[in-house]
Amino acid sequence: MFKSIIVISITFLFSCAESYVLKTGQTVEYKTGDNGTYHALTGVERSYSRDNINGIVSDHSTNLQWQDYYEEGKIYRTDWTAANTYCTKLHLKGVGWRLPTRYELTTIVDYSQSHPAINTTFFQVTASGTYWSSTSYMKPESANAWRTNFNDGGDYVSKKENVNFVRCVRGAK
Amino acid sequence: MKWIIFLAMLAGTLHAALIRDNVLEVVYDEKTNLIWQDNISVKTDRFIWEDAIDYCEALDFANSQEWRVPNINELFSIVHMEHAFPSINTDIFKNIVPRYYYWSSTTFAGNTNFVWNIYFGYGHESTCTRNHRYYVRCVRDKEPEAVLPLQPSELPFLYYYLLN
Repeated sequence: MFKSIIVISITFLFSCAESYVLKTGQTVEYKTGDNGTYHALTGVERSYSRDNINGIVSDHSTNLQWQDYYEEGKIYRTDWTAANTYCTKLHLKGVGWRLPTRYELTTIVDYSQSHPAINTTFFQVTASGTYWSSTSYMKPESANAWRTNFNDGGDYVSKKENVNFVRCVRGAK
Repeated sequence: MKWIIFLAMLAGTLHAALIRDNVLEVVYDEKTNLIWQDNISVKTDRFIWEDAIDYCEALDFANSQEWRVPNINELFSIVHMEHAFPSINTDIFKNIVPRYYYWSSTTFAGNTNFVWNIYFGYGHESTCTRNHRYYVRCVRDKEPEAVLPLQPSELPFLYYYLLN
C-alpha cells in the first residue's frame, strides 16, 4: 500500500507541471473578452532583475540570463553562423552563453510596448531591429533561421547569410 | 520494481503532453493546462476580430461556456516549429487551415488598430487591421481536478506494479 501511494504521488507531481505560458504584457482592454480582459487570470508573470555592473538581465520566470552589455556600446550585428560563434565565445561574468532558441527569444517580447517591444526598465540596450534565434527553419540544415523583430515583437525567417542583431542567453534550456 | 516506477513516470511525462478528446473535439495541452477547440468550425468560420472575440465569448461547446480567444503567447504555444503548412501537430489537431491566419486577442501596442495573429503556414507572428476575416481557435483553462489526474496510458504500469 505504501508503495502504491508513492507511485501515485510521483505521477501526480509529474502531471501538475506549472503552466509555462507567460503573460503578454497587455493590461489595457480594447474590447471586452480580449487579452486585457483576461490579463490577470492567464499566464505567468515575468520577474526580472538587472545586474547593472555586468549588464545582465535575469528572468526569474524562465530561469534565463540575458546579455544586456556590448563592448563600446555597439550592439553586435552579424550573420547567423557568426552569431552562434559570438555567443559561445562571449565572456560576460563568466562563460556558458549561447544564441537563444526561437521560443526563448519570444519570451522577452513585451506586447504592451513597441519600438522596442521589450521591458526597457531592465533591457536597457536594445536595437530597433531584428535579432537572431538559434532555431533553423524546420530543419537544422535549412538555409533560413528564425529572427524576432524587436520593433513590433513579431518573428519571421531570414536567410542565415543575412545580418541581424545578437543578444546571447544562458541558463535553463 | 524500480523500473516500473520509472516507466510509469516516463509515460506520464513523455506521452501525455497533447491529448485529443475525439468525442468532445477538444485538445488538452498538459504543458500549458489549456484546452483548445478542435471541431470543424476552426477551419470553416471566419470573422473580423471583434466578431471573433464575441464568438468565443458566447461559445457553448464541449460542456463549457468558458471559451475565449487565445492571447498571442497562448496561440504561439501550439505552433509546431518543425512543421510547416500547417505548423501545428496534425496528429493531434485535426482541424486547421494550413495557409491562413488565426486571430489572437492581443492588440499591437504600436498601433491599436492592429491585432496580433499567427499564420499557420510558417507559424509566424504578425499583425493586421481588425477588419480582416480570419479564423479563430477558442481556448479555455482546464479546471482543477478533484481526482488524481492519471492518464489512461499510465494505468497499465500502475496496475502491473500494484499486482506484483
